[in-house]
Amino acid sequence: MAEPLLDVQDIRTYFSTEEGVVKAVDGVSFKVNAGERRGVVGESGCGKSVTAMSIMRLIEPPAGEIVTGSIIFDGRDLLELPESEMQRVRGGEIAMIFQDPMTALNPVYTIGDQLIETILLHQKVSKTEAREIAIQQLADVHIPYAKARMEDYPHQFSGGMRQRVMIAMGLSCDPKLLIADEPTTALDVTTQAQIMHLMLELAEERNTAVLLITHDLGVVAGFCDTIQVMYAGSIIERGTAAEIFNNPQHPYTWGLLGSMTRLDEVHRDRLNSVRGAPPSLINPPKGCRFAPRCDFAQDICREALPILRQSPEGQRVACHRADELDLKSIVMEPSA
Amino acid sequence: MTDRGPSDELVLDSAEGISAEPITQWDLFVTRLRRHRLATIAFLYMLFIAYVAMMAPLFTCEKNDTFCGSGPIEMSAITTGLMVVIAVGAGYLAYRSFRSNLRGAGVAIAFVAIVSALFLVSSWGWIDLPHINHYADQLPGDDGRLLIRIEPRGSIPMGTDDLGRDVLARVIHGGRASLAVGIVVGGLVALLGTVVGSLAGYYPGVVDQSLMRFTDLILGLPLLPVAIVVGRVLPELRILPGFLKQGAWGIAVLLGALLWGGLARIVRAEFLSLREKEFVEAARAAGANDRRIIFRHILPNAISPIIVQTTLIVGTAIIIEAALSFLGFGVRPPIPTWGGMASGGAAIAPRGDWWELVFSAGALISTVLAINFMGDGLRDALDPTQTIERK
Amino acid sequence: MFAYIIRRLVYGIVTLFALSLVVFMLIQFSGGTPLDRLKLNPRMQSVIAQLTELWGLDKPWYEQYFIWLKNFVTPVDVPDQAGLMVIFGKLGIRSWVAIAAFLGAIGYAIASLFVKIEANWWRTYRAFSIIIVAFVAFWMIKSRIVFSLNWGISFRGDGPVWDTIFGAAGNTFRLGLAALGLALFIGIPLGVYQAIKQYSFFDQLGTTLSFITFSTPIFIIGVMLQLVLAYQLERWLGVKIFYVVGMTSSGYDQLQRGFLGLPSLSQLGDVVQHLALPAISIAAISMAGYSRFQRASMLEVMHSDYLRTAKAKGLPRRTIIVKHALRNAMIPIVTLVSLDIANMIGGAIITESIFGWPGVGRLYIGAIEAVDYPTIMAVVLAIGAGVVMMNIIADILYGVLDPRVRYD
Repeated sequence: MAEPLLDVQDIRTYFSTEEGVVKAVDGVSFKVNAGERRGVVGESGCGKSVTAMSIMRLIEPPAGEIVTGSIIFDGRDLLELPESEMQRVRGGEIAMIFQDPMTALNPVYTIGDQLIETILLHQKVSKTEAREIAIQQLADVHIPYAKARMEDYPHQFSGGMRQRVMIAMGLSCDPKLLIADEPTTALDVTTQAQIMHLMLELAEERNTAVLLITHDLGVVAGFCDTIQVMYAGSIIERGTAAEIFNNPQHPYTWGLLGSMTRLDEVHRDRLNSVRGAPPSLINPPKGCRFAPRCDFAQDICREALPILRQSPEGQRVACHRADELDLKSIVMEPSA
Repeated sequence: MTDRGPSDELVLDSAEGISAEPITQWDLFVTRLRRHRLATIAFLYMLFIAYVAMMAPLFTCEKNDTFCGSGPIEMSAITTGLMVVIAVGAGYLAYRSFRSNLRGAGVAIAFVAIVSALFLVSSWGWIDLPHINHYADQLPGDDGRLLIRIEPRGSIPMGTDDLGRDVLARVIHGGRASLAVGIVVGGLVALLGTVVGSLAGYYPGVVDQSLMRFTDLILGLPLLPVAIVVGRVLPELRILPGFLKQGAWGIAVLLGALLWGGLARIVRAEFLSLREKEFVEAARAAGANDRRIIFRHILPNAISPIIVQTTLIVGTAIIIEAALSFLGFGVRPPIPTWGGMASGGAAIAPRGDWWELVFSAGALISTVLAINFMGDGLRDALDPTQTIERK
Repeated sequence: MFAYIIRRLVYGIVTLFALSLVVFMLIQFSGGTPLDRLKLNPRMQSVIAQLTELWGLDKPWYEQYFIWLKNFVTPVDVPDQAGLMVIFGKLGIRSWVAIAAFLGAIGYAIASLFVKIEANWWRTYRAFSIIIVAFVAFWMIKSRIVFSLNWGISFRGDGPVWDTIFGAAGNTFRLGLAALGLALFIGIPLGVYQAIKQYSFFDQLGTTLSFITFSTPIFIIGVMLQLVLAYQLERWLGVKIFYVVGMTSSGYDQLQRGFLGLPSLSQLGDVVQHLALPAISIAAISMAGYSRFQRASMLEVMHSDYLRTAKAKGLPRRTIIVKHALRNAMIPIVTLVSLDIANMIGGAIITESIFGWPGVGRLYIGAIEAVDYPTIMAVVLAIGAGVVMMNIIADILYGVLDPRVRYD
C-alpha cells in the first residue's frame, strides 16, 4: 500500500482562555491518501475547523498551541518545519479555502492581483505568465469573461462567484491537498450544489486530495470517498461513505443521520434530534464524551474513554458498545 | 433500552422551581459601567468638582479682613431651599446606589448629602465651618501689606497671584465657569442636535434636505475664528441681556449654538436606520402617530450615541472656552476662569512663579480628563456589542 | 463624480457667503470701529472725519457690507502686453521649470483624449502634472500675473490685504505642514504598532498618553513646551536649542544665502529651531487622535478573514501586514485627517499667538483687536474656503483609495 499523503498522528491543540484551557482537539489521528476525498463531519465546536487550521499551522500562539503530535505530509513533519518552509507548503502544496467568500478576499485589490500574487509566490514564472495562468484558472472554475473579470474587485462578484474565485486561488498552484472549511455554508442551496459539483470535477481531474469540513451530511454524501465523524475534539467514527450512511456504528452518528430530514420518509409530528448539548471542552467528561447524551450509555461508558478500533462491519468506531448494538434496526423516535 | 424523551434541562419548567430574575437594561448598564473602574473614578471626581464649584460662594469670604475666619454661613431663602432638596435627594440616591451595589458612587453621593447637610446646619448657627478667601480681594499680611506672589504654604495652599489674590479661591470659582459651559453646552447640543437630527432622519425629502443643508452650513463655519469674533464682541453687543454678556454664560450659549451639528448628523443616521426596523412598522400598525413613534419608540433606541457624543462635546467645549479666555476673547477679567488664569500664570512663570499656571492647568486637564474617561466608560457600558478591553 | 464636486463647490460658496454675512453683522453690531484708538486723541478729528468718509463707516451696515462685497470680488486690472513681457523677462529658473511642467501637463490632457495607456509611468506622470498645474495656477494668482481679487486695504495701514495674507499664509502653511507631517509620521506608525502588540505595556502606555494629551488644551501644551524645552533647557544647557518667538532670528538675513535663492542649510536650521516647538504643540493633539484611530482601524483589519486567507496562501508575515492589512487600515484615516484640518487651523491660531509666529493666526488676532474689517473678513473667508476645499479633496481621495466607494 502506498504511503499516505497526509498522516496526522495524535494531534492535541489547546487554547488558553480566561476560564481555563480549552482542549479543542484532543488526540486526533487519521491518514489521507493521495487523491482521496475525506469528509470531516460534526456539530459546531467539535474541533473540525481547528484540526484543519492545525494542519496548516494557522493557529496563533499564545492563544492557541499544538501541544503534541505530528503531521506527516509528503514524508515531512509539518510541525518541525521552520516558518519559511511552512510558507512554501501553504498555498503551494496544501491549499485552504474558507467559509465566507464575502470577507475572505481583500476588498481593495482586484481578484486578478490576488490570484497573481499566489501564483508568483509558489511558481517560478514571469508576471505575464502568471497572468495567463490566472485567467486559465478562472476559466476552469467556469467564470465567464475571465480575462475581463481579472480587473474586477471582490465586491463586484456574487457569493457563488466569489467562492469559485477562492477555489481558483486555492487550486492555482496545483496543490496535492485541498482543505475546504465549510465552503458552501454561506451560500444558498442551488449555489451549494454548483460549487460541490465544480469541486468534484476539479478534484477528479487533477487528482487532488480533498479534506472537506462541514456539518452538512448532505454535502458530504455526493462528494466524499471516506468520512470521519468528530465529537468534542476527537474522532468517534471513520469509514467509507457507504459504511457510514448505511450502517452507522456510533450512537452519535446514528443520531445525526436520524435527524436528517428526507424526502422519502413518513411525515412525523416532530423532528428527531440528539438531545442535550456538547460538553465543555475545558472540563470534558471522564469517560466517553458522548455518554451524557447517549441513549445507550452504560457505566463503562462513563468510566473509560473509548478508542477507535476496527469494527466487524468495516469502519472504525470509538464506542464501548459498538459490537453489541445493532443501530440499523432501531427506529429513532422523535423526542416527545 | 427504551427511548427517552427530550431533555428536561431544555425546558424552563416553573414547576421545578427555577426562578429567573429578569435582568433589565439598567442592570446590564450598571454592571458594565462598574467594570470600567476609571470611568467610575472619573464620575466621582466630576461630582466632587461640580459640587465644590457650585457651593463656592457659600464658603468663600466676602471680604478678607484677616484670614477670613469662620462663622455661620449666610444663605438666602432660595439657597436654603435648594440645599434641603439636594441633601434629601442625594441621601435617597445614595441609598439606591448602595442597593444597586454601586458602592463607590454611593459613597460620593453620600458625601454630597452630608456636606449639604453640614451647610444647612452651619447656616442655622449650630456649628462653625472654616472659610477660605475670596477670589477678588487681595490678601493682606500680618504687617498690613498685600501678600503678592506668595508661594504655596500653610493656609494659602495654592499661593497668591500677581495681584495678591488667593489662587485656590480663584481656581474654585473658575470651576463655576467651566461648569456653566458644561451644563449649557451639553444641554443645548443635546437638544438642538437631537431635535434636528431626529426630524431630518424621520421625515425624508424636503424636511431632511433643508435641515441637513442648514446643519452643513453650521458645520462649515470654522469654529475658532468665528468663536473669537463673537467672543470679542460679546460684551459690547447692545441687543443681548445683561447676564449673557458677563461671565461664561454668553460663551456657553455661543458654543452650544456652534457645536450641535455633529450630533445632528449622528442622530439622523441612527434615525435613518431605525426607521426601517420592524418595530416601527408594528407601532404604526397599532395606530401610533408620528410623534409617539419618534419619542417613545425610536428615540430610546438612539439614546446611547447621543449620550456618549454629548459627553465628549462637553469636554471639547470646556477646552474651547479656556482657549478663548486664554486669548482674551472669552470670560473677561476679573472673573476668574481657568483659561484666563493660565494666561496670567504663563506670563509670570518664567520668573519662577509656577503656582498659578500649574494649578489652573491642573484643574483644567484633570476635569477634561475625567469627562473623557466618563465618556469612554459610558460608551463601553451602553454598547453591548463592543468587546471591553482589559484596562 | 464631476457633478458631485461641482455641487459641493457651489454649496461651499453659499456657506462662505453666509459666513461673511454673519461675521460682518456681528462686528457691526458690536459697535467697535477701527477708529477707536484714534478717537482717544482729540487732535485727530479731521483725520477721523476723512477716514470715516473714505471707509464709509457712517453708512448703514448693509451698505457697508455691499461695499465690501463689491470690492472683494472685483478683480484688479490685468497688466498690459508690455507689462507681460517685462514680467517674463524677470522670471527665474524656478519659474521656467514650472512653466515647462505646466506645458507638459497640457500635453498630457490633450494626449489622454486620444490615447489610453495603462502603464504605471503614465499614472505617475498624470498625478505629477496635476500637482504642477495646481502649483503654477496658485503662483500665478499670487503674483498677480493674471488677475487677483481686491481684498481691500487694511484699516490698520498694513497695505493691501491680499499681500499681507499671502505672506502670512505661507508661514502658516509651513507650520501646518510641519505639524501635519509630525502627526502623521509619528501618530500612524504608533497606532499600527500598538495594534500589532495589543495589550502589551507599550499599547497601554500609549493609550493612556493619548487620553491625557487629548484632554489637554493646546495652549497648555504650547506654554509647557515653552517653559520646559526652551527656558529650562536653556538654563541647564546654557545654549538656546528651541526658540519661542517668531519664525526667524534677527540675524537671519545675514546668514549665508543658498542655491537658486532657496534658503541655505544654516538658514533652514534657524527656521527649524523656531518651528519645532509650535509644530509639536499643534501636532500633539492630532497625533493622539490619529494613533488611537489607526489602532482601532488596524485591529479591525487584523481580525478580518482576508488576512487569514493571505496567511493560508503562504504569504510571509511582513507582506501580510504591509500589503494587505495596512492598505485597508489606512483608508479611514483620510477622512479623519481632512476633518482634523479645521481643528489644526484653530490650533494654529492659538499657537501662533503664543509663539509669535508670523502667520495668519497672529494676523487674525491682531485684526480682531483693532477691528480691521477687511483683514478679518478676508482671513475668515480664506479659512472657510480652505476647509471646504479640504473636505472635497478628502472625498475624492476616499474614492481613490477604496474601490468599493468608487462604483457606488
